[in-house]
Amino acid sequence: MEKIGPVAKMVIGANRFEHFQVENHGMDMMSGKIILTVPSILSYLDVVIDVMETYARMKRVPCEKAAKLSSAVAEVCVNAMEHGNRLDPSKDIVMTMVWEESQFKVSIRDFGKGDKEPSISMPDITKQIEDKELSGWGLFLASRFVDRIEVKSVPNDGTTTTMTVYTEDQLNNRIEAQ
Amino acid sequence: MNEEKTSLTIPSIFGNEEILVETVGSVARIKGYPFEKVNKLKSAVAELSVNAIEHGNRNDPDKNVVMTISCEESAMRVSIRDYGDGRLDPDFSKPDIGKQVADKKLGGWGMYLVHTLVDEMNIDAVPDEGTTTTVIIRN
Repeated sequence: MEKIGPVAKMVIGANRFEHFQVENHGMDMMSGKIILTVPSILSYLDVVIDVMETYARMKRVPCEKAAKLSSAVAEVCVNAMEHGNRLDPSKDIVMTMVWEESQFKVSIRDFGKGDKEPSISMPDITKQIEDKELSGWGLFLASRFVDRIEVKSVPNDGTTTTMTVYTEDQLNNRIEAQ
Repeated sequence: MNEEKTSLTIPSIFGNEEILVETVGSVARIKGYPFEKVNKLKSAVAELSVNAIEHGNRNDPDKNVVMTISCEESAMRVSIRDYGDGRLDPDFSKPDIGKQVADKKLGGWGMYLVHTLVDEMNIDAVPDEGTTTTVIIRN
């Protein structure tokens, strides 16, 4: 083998995949899904958003919807890192993206305690001002940016937040059905 | 700095390589690698991803391509794994352009180009299990 510049090595036949085991985390690894795993480090939020936006662009999600979804994913991801995984870099955040029948679904999962299901309803601003303590707005805002949001917490197994946006056709069908 | 691991799994559908490329570019950017190095790494990953989808998994959407990125103190290691027959015989050497033109058959430039874009490159091919290509850049 001719060596040109950088180091090159080729190994055929030996089982050298040990270093390459991707933790399943109980996620469904079936095809059709895009699954991203990052450590709970805030700078990795950029990676999560870049990947989500790239896939949304590929699937031609309308710009405005993609931008809103991007804001929602950012809010949910920061929540997952800070409140779920308590910024423990050894704990992962898993984003799963699925595009099916004109709906785009993005799930963010943490591996925190999962003991308290967060509320997506609008916080009581008057009470929060009186108490001089503002909180709980992230998830409420995220819910306003997408067509559907679901939060599922499992004690000792973390929290998964699933956000869905529909294309116009899908949205019209759903409105008609109601 | 402890090792930081990122992984991405995609089905083998042509076009999905763009997600792998953006992911690796994004991680390299937040880790502060210079613009030129990031761009070369993205080009290398683009080539390897297309290889994994087309030649490794034969465009079978039921087969995944898995990319793992490990960031260490002074290096970034990117591995791309397919689940093909693992019987590829990649060659890093520069193809003989004169002979290829004479034979009217061009090929084998991908791995050579990738090899020139990164600091180190390894290929592990296991028959019936697939192929993992690892590229490393150092800062």
